[in-house]
Formats: sequence, structure tokens, C-alpha cells
Amino acid sequence: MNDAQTPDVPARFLRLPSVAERKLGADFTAPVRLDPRVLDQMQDTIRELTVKYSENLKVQVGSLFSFIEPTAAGEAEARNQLYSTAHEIRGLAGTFGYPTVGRFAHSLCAYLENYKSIVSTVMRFHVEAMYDALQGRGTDDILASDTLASLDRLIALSHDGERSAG
Amino acid sequence: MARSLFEMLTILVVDDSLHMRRLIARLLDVLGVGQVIVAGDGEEAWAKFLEHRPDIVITDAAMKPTDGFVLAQRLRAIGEDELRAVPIIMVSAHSELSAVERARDSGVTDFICKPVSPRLLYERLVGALNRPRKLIETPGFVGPDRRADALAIDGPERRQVTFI
Repeated sequence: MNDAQTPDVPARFLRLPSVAERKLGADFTAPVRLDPRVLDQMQDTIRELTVKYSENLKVQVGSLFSFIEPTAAGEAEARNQLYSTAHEIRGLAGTFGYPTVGRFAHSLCAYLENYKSIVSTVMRFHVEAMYDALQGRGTDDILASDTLASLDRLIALSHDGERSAG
Repeated sequence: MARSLFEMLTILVVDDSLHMRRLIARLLDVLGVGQVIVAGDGEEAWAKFLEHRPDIVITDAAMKPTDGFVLAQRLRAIGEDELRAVPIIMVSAHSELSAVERARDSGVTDFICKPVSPRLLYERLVGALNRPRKLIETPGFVGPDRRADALAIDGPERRQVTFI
């Protein structure tokens, strides 16, 4: 597109000093490098919170099993709960040291986002994979990737010919 | 020096997950942030924003009843320039391009995909603190000015653009 084709759009530009400058005066910038001692403290904080989170994660993964059949039967509320629980797990599990659980939760969320009709076998395999990963089984990176590939194949087989909603 | 800057900050953390709120709030405490305000959704965040006038907002994307995108739009529509220019960092498990584009179109300053790491959080925070707050307001968009010159990159590192 050349200038002649570019539409005129009224625009107002606003330029304010950075937050650092506003707080501490001109030319001040916060250091880009994080002090390693502070980083260690932050890691310690995550480890400390992980204990509490782990208990919660066990309960959440356990609860997913109870939503599978109602979701497959078309119950909207169960599907919402299944999705919101899996969504929270995909957001948090990795931060608290359960990246594989988070990856399986991500796959489950994607499945729920992309398909209108849901197959219980697909959901069950996802939740079982999360449960196993939580127990420390199948958390090896290659094995987890293989499991995810298998889940993709299972989805393709279960929805042969069906277009995804996404 | 950075410590003293952080001590002067008020940061609003918005997330519907108690664990995530707690995590980010604690990490900000470790960084020495003076005041951390928390909210469980966009509605509560809106009220607390007006009450506390934070320097930075860190918000989740998917929340009910009011999500992070709507919150960002409301913040950018505030009449007072100092408030509407607040840096907004969105933290989301939605890593798809569509979510990032929606965040951009809602006026979000920066986007972090979960899982959150301390280093990444710090980097985005420092970026938000150091960057001049440049907003562009057009009929369909209010948000950070993302033109290349806004980044003030100069010298040999700057990408050359040829107009055809």
C-alpha cells in the first residue's frame, strides 16, 4: 500500500515519563540484571509455595475424573468445570515444578476448545496422563512428547472426518 | 538502588486463581515492592485500581465476570492521562497468537505466557518501569505506541527499512 492509499486516521499521541523516571527523576533506569541473591530468594519462595500447591493439584486432578462422563453426556456445567480446572492447571503446574502435568492439561484444554462433541476416552486418557505425571510417572521429556503425540492420534481417530470447532 | 525504586511502587495483581495471586504477590514482595494489591477479577481490580492508583497492573486474561482484556480496555479509556498510561502486563496460559493479538488490541503493554518464571517476571517488570509511557489514541484503539521509533533504537543495530 502506498501513501495515496493509506487512509487518514485521527490520532492523538501521549508521551509520559517512564515509571522509574517519575519516581526517581530523569535518566533513572531500573537495573536490567536481576541480583542472583534475589533470584535465589524468589526460587525459594516458589519452592515454599509448591508444598501447598501440590496438595491442591492432587485434588484438582482427582476432581477431573468426575467431570468426564457428564461432559461426554453433554452437560455444559461439567464441561465448564472440567475446562476451568484444566485451564488453571495448565497455567500453574509448570511454575510449581510440574511441567508435564501442565503440558497434558494444555492438550486437554485445546481439545475442549476445538471440538464441540467430546469423547470420554480422549478426556480419560488426558486425565490419566496427568495423574501419572503427578505421581512421577512418564515425566521424562521424550516419553511425555510421545504421550502427547499419542493423544493427538487418539483425537484424530475419535473425530475422524469431524471438523474442529476452532 | 533498584530496591529503593521497588519500595516506591504499588502494583495491582489480578488473577482468579488464589495460587497465582499468592505466587506473584510473594515474588513481588521478595523484589521489595512497597505495596501489592490483589484482586480476583476485572471488576474487583477496577475498584481497587481507582482506589490505589497503582504504578503497574499485572493481570490474568481469562476471568469471570470481567476478564483481563475488558479490564485493559477500561483502564485505557480513563480520562486522566497519568492513570490511563499505566503499564499493563498480561499473564496468561493462552499462548495462541489470537490471545496475544487480542491483548495487544486491548491496549496491553506486555504479555507473559504461563508458566511464570521469576526471571521473566523481573525482566517484564523492569521493562515496564524503564520504558517511557507512550500511548496512541485512535477511534478504534488506545494503547502503547508500538512504532519502531518508540523504542529509540539507533546505530548499526537498528533494522533498515526500504520503502518500495
